[in-house]
Amino acid sequence: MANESTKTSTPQTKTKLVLDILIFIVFLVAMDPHTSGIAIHEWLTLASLAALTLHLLLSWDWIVEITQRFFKKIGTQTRVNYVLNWLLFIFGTLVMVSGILISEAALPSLGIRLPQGFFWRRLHDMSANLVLLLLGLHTALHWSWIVKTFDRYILQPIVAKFSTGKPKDVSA
Amino acid sequence: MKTLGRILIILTAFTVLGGLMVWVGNVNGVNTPDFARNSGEAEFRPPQGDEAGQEGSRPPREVGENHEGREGRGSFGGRWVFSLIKNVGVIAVLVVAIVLPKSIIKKKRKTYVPPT
Repeated sequence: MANESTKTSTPQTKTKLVLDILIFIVFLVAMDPHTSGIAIHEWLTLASLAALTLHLLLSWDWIVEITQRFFKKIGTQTRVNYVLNWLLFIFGTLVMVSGILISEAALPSLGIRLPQGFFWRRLHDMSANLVLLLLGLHTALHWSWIVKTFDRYILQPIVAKFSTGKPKDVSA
Repeated sequence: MKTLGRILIILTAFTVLGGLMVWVGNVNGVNTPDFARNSGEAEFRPPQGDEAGQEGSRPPREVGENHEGREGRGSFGGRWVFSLIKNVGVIAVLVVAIVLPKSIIKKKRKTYVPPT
């Protein structure tokens, strides 16, 4: 991600940060279907497919570059990061697919009814927990980028706004 | 056009992977509920027809009754806070476990003065 962050342009980095925060919030809401309700849980996660696609599109150059160089000389962290990203994609797909197969609100509202399977429900719960762990590792590996970008695009503008708003000394 | 192609690649990968998972699940027969029809064991399925009215069977659901399936039970606020703390906590623990040792090693390397 260090390479990724230096290569991406400023507006793209900002978009990526906002999108990542959005995905993180959606993930936290989706991880608790008891509170949000099944309908919100299902529609929100289906809609997040678009956000995840955009997330991948914004990292496309990095994905292509590392795919081409994976068996050549690359850093260990980049290699681990790449493998972890694939695992996240695979288990994310598993969560989505098993979620679609046990859908109680989204698919029935479209007139599609699938036979309920205990196996897919178990798999949905297990893969969701695994995705939580993988997301934690993903966040940890990108932590320096998150801190830097958050500071640059969110904290610094806020600090700058407050510091310029201070009343000037007019005692003289 | 380039972006559209990339979107198609992502969606194709998602569909192929998802299809493969469904196929593997169905081929292994893990999605077929087996009520042990041939083994003579007790059959755990909802009562049908005349069985529904028998003693010991579950009474039919009233209209408007609170359906507690995946929606869950318990207090709304407490559950929400607990779930949020649990999920954010797992991520935070992993971040601290990976970032902290890395930063300590980095600092040690910076402060290390080779013997003269």
